[in-house]
Amino acid sequence: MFIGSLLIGYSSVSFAYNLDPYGGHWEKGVDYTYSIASSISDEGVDSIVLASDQWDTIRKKKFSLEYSGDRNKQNNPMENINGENEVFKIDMGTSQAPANARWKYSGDIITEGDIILNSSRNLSNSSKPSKTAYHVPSIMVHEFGHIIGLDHSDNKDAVMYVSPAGTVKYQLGKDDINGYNAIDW
Amino acid sequence: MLISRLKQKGIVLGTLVILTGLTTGSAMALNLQNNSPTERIHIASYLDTFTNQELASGASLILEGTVLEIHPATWNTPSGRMPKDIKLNDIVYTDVSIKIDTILKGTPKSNDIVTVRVYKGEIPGEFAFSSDTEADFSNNEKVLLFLMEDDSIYNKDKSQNHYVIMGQYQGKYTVEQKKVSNFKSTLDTKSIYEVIEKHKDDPTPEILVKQEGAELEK
Repeated sequence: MFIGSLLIGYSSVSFAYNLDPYGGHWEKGVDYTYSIASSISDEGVDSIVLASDQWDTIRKKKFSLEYSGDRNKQNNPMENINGENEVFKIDMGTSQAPANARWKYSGDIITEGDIILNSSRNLSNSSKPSKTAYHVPSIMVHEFGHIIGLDHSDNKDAVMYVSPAGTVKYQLGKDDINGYNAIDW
Repeated sequence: MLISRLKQKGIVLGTLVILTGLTTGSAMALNLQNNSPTERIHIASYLDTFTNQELASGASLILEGTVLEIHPATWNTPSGRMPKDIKLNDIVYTDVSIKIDTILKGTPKSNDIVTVRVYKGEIPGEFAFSSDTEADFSNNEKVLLFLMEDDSIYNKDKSQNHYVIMGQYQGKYTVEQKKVSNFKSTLDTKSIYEVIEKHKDDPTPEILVKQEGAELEK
């Protein structure tokens, strides 16, 4: 019984992460380069880059995320599935979530990953957001985790866990790193 | 000799034609049997986390009902067909008809049946939009729903003939034997009814109210 409890405890801690529901992953050797919509402020760009950099701190990383520095690529802000990886900020409506990531598959290979911040919500770059505002680095590190190939985690310490507004949590937890290492690249 | 060779060639060609036909036919049959979509976009959302009090105050319509019909998935384009270029506001949706049993808050657009729209769905052999946070339904399922008007960019013509679920899966409970349950929790029907009654007239949850100075831009 003691061993059983240990096993249950071990599994609930170590395997709280979830991988892409369709087994999706990027092609080996392909890095993720993204552009940021010109509608996002310089502060917002800093927040987004801070978020993607978190995934680059992983030791033995197998995949890089890099901001292209491109702010003018999106002539049509509604253009979506175009082979480019983009971060948008548009008014998705109150009935939609504060942010979402969307990615396209070709078989089990992810070929494009975009992220949309919903400007109908209070979005904050401040390190001390109000309890009704979403901290941009925190939600962006989560969205980049989806793009990499992770699903939501059940571990409250993980960035892949969905936390309420006002939460500041953008540094990767052990569970996030375990999930990253479990991806079948 | 020549005739014999021609006959042999004819037999070989004939056999090839038959084999090609059989192979193509099998492939077509397989394709007909395999209705899985050829392309897929998956959406993962960072949801607002709502308490039941917030669901009660934020929803414009709360009802208990029964799933009558789950309609085929369709594109939200004017033609209902796949667009040539998929833009941010293009998506596949699924409408679900719900027979109203009890209204707990609000006034529905129709007295007996409401349409609930979920933004995901598969068009067999063509395309799928999947989501890990939109609710799932099954026929004849008894449900408790916290609904709101669809002000999303996906509702291109601002149609008022349907609702969406507040907080996606959070605003849908399955009702079974005096219990309601969803992905997050299982509760007594009586206790959630009390929460709804107590909080349905509270102000809209603050996270849904935009404040000056808290935006991404200064």
